[in-house]
Amino acid sequence: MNGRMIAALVAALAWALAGDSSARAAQETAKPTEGSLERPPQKPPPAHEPRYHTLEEVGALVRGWIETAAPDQALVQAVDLPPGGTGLPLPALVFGAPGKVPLAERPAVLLLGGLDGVSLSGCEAVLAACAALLGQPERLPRDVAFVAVPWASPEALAETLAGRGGDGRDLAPLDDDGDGALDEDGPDDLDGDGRILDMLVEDPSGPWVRASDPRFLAPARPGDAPRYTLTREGRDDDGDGKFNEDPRGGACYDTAFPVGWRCEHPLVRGAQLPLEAEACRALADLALSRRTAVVLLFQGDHGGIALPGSRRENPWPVGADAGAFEIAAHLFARATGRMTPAPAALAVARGGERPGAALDWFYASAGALSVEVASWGPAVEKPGEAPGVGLAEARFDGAARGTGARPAAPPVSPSDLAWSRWLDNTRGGIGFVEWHPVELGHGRQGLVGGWEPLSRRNPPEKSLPVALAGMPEFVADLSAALPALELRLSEDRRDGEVCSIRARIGNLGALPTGGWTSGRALSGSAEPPGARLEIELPAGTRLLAGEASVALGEIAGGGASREVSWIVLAPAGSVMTLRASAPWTAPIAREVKP
Amino acid sequence: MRRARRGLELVLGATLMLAAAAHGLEPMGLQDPGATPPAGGEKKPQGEPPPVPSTAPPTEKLPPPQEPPKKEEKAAAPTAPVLDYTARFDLASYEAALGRIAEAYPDLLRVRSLGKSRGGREVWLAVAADTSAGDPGRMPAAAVLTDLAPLVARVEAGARESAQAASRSSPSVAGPEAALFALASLLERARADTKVRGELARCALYFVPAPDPDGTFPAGEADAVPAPRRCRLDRNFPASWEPFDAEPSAAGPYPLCEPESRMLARFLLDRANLSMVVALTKSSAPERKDAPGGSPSSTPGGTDVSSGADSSGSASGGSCERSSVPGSLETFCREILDASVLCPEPWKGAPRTTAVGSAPEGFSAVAAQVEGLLGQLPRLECGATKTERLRTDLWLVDLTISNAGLLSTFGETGRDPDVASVRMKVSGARVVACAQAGGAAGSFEASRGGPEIWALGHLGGGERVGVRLVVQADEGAGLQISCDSLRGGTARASASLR
Repeated sequence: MNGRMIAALVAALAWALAGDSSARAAQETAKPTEGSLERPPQKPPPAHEPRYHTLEEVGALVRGWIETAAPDQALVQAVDLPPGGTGLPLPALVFGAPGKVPLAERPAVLLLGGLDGVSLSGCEAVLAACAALLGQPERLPRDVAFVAVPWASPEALAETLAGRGGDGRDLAPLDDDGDGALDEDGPDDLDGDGRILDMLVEDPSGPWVRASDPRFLAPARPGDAPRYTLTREGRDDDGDGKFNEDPRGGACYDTAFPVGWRCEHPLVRGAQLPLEAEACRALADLALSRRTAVVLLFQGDHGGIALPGSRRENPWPVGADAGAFEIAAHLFARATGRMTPAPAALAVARGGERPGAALDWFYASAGALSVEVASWGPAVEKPGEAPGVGLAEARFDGAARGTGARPAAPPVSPSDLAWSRWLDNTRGGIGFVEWHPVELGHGRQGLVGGWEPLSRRNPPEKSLPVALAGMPEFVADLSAALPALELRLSEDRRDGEVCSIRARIGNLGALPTGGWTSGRALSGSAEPPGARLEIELPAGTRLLAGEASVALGEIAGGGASREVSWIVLAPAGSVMTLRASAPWTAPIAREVKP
Repeated sequence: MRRARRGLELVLGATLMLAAAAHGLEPMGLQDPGATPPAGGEKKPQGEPPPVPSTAPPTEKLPPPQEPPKKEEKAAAPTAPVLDYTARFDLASYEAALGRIAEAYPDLLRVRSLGKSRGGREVWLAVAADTSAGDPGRMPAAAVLTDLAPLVARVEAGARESAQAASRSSPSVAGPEAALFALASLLERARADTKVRGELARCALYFVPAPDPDGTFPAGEADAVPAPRRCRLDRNFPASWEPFDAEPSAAGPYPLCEPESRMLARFLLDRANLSMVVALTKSSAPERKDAPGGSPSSTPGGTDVSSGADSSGSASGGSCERSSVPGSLETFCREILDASVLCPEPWKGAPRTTAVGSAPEGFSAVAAQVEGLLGQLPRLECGATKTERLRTDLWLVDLTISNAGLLSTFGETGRDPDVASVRMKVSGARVVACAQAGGAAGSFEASRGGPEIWALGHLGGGERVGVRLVVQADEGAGLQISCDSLRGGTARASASLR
C-alpha cells in the first residue's frame, strides 16, 4: 500500500467516523417548504421483506417506490428499459435526494441485481438497498443518483427461481451442439423428485473424478478412474450420444460484454454476440448515458467483493485504482462485519477466468469504480460455536492436507471444502442430494445429485436476512464516499484592468475524482484529462496568460489539484466564471469578480 | 492454426489469380503499377441461359429503383444492364443499378434489405444463387463486401468532428462499384456459361456492395444529418476488441454499437454456410484516373493517408493482413466466423469495356476471382464402394465421403472435436455399428454417436474419409445415406442390400 492509498483510506475512515452519509445529507438537504407541509401525508415507500420475490413482485415494488415518492424527501423516477427476449419486463428506477442538479446529470451509482441470471440473493440485496435508502431519505447523499435494476436478467432469474436454472442464460434460442435444431436436448427430471440437479455420466475421457469427499468432484489426474462427464440431469433427447448439450437458452448477460469476450460456440446457429441482446445492451447504454461513478453488481457466491480482472491479463495496469478499491473493501467489511480476505480480482473470486464479464466492461469502458458484491458465500452464515468455515481457512486446510502422501482420491477443492463445512456445521448436511443412480437408456446409467437449488448458489430463504445484512449500509457508505468538488480561490486581485486569478480544485470526498479508466476510451493514446478547471470570460475581456481549460488529472480523496493561474484583461465590473468538472462528480461553478 | 489458414488463403489467392489469368485478365495482386494494361480480353457471352422459373421468397424485396428500368421490347428476355462502373455511384444510381441487375436476372438474384443505417438508409443484400435448386442458406457460400475502412484513415485527436463534417459532403469509404460489377459479371457469365450456372445451383454468393451507405453516399443538403458515430465501423466488430485504442473513440464504447456493424455481423454469423469473405478494399489514396497503377500517395496537404487500407492485396494476391487488427471486420470473420478472408484491391487499372459495362481493369480481375471462388467452396460427395452380406439380415457397407472443394468443411480455429461439421444420417436399415477410417494405415475405428446421427468430424479441402457401416435389414432393402455439412452442403448416396 503506497502513501496515496493510505491517505485515501484515512480520508475514508475520517469520513465514516464523521457520521456517515446521513449526517452529511442531513446537513445539505434542502428543508421542506411550507407548501409541502400542507400536502396530505404520503404513503410510506414499500418496505423490503427478506424473502425471494418474483419478477411481478419486483415490478410492484419499483412502481410502489415511484408512486409513493415525496418530492421534498426523495426524487424517484422510472427508467425505461426494453424487455427481455421473451417480453419479460426489466423494472428499473432512479432516485436521489432533492436538489438543484437533475438526477440525469448527477454522478450515478448503478445497482444491478442478478445480472448473472443466477444470484437471486443479489436481486434481493438491490431491493433491500433501495428500500432502506428510500425509507430513510435523510441518508441519501446530495447530488448523487442511484440507478437500480433489481432483476437485471429477468428470463434467466425467473428460470432460477422456478428451480430450472442452469448457467444463467436467457431464453434466446441457441443451437449449442450445431446440429441444426434449437434447444432440443435440455435437462429433465429423471428421478421424479421435482428437481433438476447435476448428473455424472461415466466417460473414460471425462474431466472429473470423485474427490476424497465423494460428494464433490475434482479434476481427473492421469490414471484416475472412474472418470465422469458432468452435465445437468436429463436424458439424451436428440439421440446423438450426448446428454443435455443443447438446453434452452442463449446468452448469460453477465458474460455477454465485450472485454475479453470470446465465442464459445463458433458453429452454432443463434450464437449471441456481445451486448447483442437488446435488454443487455440497454444496461450498457444506461451506464454510458449517465455520469456513472460506481457500478455494484450484486451476484456471486464468494461472500465478498471482487474487483475487475476476469482474465489473467487485463487491459489496465496491475494495481490500477488500488486505493479506491481499498476504500470499497473497507466499507464493505465495516458494513457487513465480514472478515473477508483482501478483495481479489474476479478470476480469482470466481475460481476461473470469466471472459466477457460485465464487471470488466463497466470498469474499462464506462470508466466507473466497479465491484462485484456477493451477498452469499460459505463464510456468511456461521454456526454458534463452530470454527471458521471461510474460503481462506479452507484453502489453508486443504494445503495442509495436501502435504502428506497422495491419497487414493484427489483432495476436495478449497471452495468445496468451505461449502462442505457450511453444509455440515450449519445445515446438518441438508442442502446436498447424494449421488444416486438413474437409468439413461441404451444400457447406460448416470448418477444424479449435487447441490439443491437454494443452498450454494443462493441461500436458503431463511438464511436470506443474514446474507443481506449490511448491504444497504454498504451502498449508502460507498455513495457517501464519492468525490465532491470544491473550488478554492487563492487569489482574486485586480490592478487597473489587469486581473490575476489563482485557484485549485479540492476533493472533499474519500474516493478520487475518477479512475484510471475514466475517459480513457475517448482519449486514445493521450492521458485522459481527469478533473478539469475552466475559466469562462465575458465579452470584452481577454485572456493574457493561462489556458482557458486545464486538465488536472485525477484528484485523490481529500486532496487538491495543483494551482492554476490566469491573467485576464477585463474592465471593472467584469464577472468571470470558474468551472470545475471530473468524471465521478457533478460539475460545479463559481463566479469571480476581481 | 493461423499460419495454416494464412497459407490456405495465399494458396487460394494464387489459385484465384490463375483463374483471373485464365479469363485473359491481369491478376491484380501481381500487377505492375506502372505497366500498361492490356487492351480488351473480355469474353463475349456464349449463349442464353436455360430458362429457370422464378421462385422469389416472399421475404425478399427489390429496392425501389430511383430510375425506372428501360423497358425492352421483348420482356421475356431481359437484357443485362450495361453501366459505367468507372464513375462513382451516388445513392440513387446505386439503387437503380441494383434494381436493374435484379430485374435482368430474376432467376438468379434476390435483393433485400438487411436493415437501416444510422442515417435511415437501406443496407442492401444481393443473393446470387439458383434458388430453384434449393435454399441458398443450405448451399456452400461466400460473401463479397465493400470494405468499411475509411478512405482517410488517420483522424487525429480533435479533428474527428471536422472529419465527420467533411464526410457529409464527400464519401468516406469505398463505393459499391466493384461489388456491383462483380455481381453483374457473375450473373452474365452464368447466363452465358452453363458451368457457371451449374455452380450457382450448388453455391450461393452474398453481395453487400454498400454496407455503410451513410459513409458511401454523402448526404445531400435536403437530407437530415444523422447523429455522429461513436466509433469507426471497421474497428467495431467483436473480435479481439479492446476498450482502449490509440485512436480516440475508434473502437467505440462496445463492439456493434452502430446499427451497420450490428446488422452486418448478425447477417454473417447467421450464415453458417459461409466459408469465405471477400472484402473489396480501396487504397486510401485519392482516385486518380490518370494513374492506372493507383499507387498510394499522400493528400495534397501531405498528410499520410495510407494506413487505413493495407496494401496486402497487391502483395499477396488478396490475402488480408488486416485480420490482426483488433475489432476489424476481417478479424471478426477469421476468429468468430472461422471464415477465410481475401482483401483484393480492385480500384486499379485503366478502364476497359466488358459485357456489363466499362470498369477499371481491376474490377474484371476481381469478378474472375469471385467466379473462381465457386469452385473452391467445400462440396460434400458421398458414394457406396462396397456391400457385403455378413449374415442373413446383416450387411457391411463401405462408404467414401469426400470434400471436393479446396476449403474445409470448417475453419482452422474452430476444429472442436465435440462439434462435428459433417454428420451422417442413415435410413432404410438399422445401423448396428459404425466405424470410421483413421490414420495412415486406413484402419477403421468405432465411431461414437448414433443411433440416428453420426458425427464424422471435419473434412479439409480435398480430404476424403472411409466409413464402414454394419446394418441390419432384409435382402433387397434400399439403404439411404445422407451426409450433411453446413458449409459443404448435402450429399446423398444409396446402396441396395443384395
